Amino acid sequence: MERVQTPLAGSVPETTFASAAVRTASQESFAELLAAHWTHAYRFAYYLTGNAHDSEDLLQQAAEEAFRAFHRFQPGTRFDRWLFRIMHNSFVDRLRRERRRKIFSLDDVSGAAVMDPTAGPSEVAEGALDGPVLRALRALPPDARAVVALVDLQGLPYDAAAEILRCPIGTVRSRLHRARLALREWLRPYVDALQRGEL
Amino acid sequence: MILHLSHELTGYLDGTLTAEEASGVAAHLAECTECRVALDDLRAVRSLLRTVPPILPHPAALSRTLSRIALVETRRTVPRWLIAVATMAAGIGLLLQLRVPTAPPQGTRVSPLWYFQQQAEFAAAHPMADVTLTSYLSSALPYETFPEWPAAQKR
Repeated sequence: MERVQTPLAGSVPETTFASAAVRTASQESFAELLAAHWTHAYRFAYYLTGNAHDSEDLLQQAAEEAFRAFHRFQPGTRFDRWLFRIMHNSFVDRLRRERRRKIFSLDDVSGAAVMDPTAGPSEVAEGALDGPVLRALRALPPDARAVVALVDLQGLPYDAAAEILRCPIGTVRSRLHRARLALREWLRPYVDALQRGEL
Repeated sequence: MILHLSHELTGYLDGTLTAEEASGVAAHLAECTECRVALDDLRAVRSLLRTVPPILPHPAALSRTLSRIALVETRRTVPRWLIAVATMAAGIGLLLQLRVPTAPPQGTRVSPLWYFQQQAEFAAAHPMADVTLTSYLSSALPYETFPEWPAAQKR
């Protein structure tokens, strides 16, 4: 993700802190940084949670936690990575608490949960490919999903993903490899169609 | 038996291997059809992932979040170690019945209340101490402390 260097003040909504009695410099600074990285942060939240409601909820929680800890943020470092790390921690905590989602094992590559039998390459050609790909992404275990979201979907380098996920770069690579192998099996018809040049 | 490549393929595909590692992978790929197929599959998977269109947040989501943040108090919670130290100090003080000494009033004229306050505090802290009992039984007052008292003036 390229760093946003443009003036950020204009990107903050005018009514941002209209309801607050005091507009502190800290709030203004935080709002500008958050606005600059808002879209990428939302995408990461969406890839983690899999739906718009939960992703907005997760991002809201992460933003509040980040603001409370904003005095510990070091100016000059990457705000997006710092925010992503807080958000990923919130996501992991949320998963542990709720235990709502069924976590699939990478070794259990059935593909039944993610493959839509009615969807074929013709549908893919019509632009509906993101459906099965995102379904397959949601079927990955959370740690593998986070790596794929950061590296393949957000385009971050390995070292950034390692910094966000607080793991060695080698772990990023091995998780990414296992995730791609699982996605290969789950998305086999699309992989074959792509290799035949039909996509 | 040929040992096939594993996550080195992903590193090779993404260009994150060192030059030495990459040349080793390339040499293996030149001889191993199975690993070449796996590499092509991984490349196709990566291409599929890149077809996912960018997802955009709700236009009002940022404003909602910032409005809530404005209401967040930036209070800093007391560190747990500080709470533990304070509790321990209070406990030790209670066990040892430490008293914060009350400073006697300055000057020659001493309030009589100060003397009784000291006695009362000491008696409460050491209910069975000899000094306390003696104090209870004694009717003698330190007249030198209260030179203005009539009893002292008689002496």
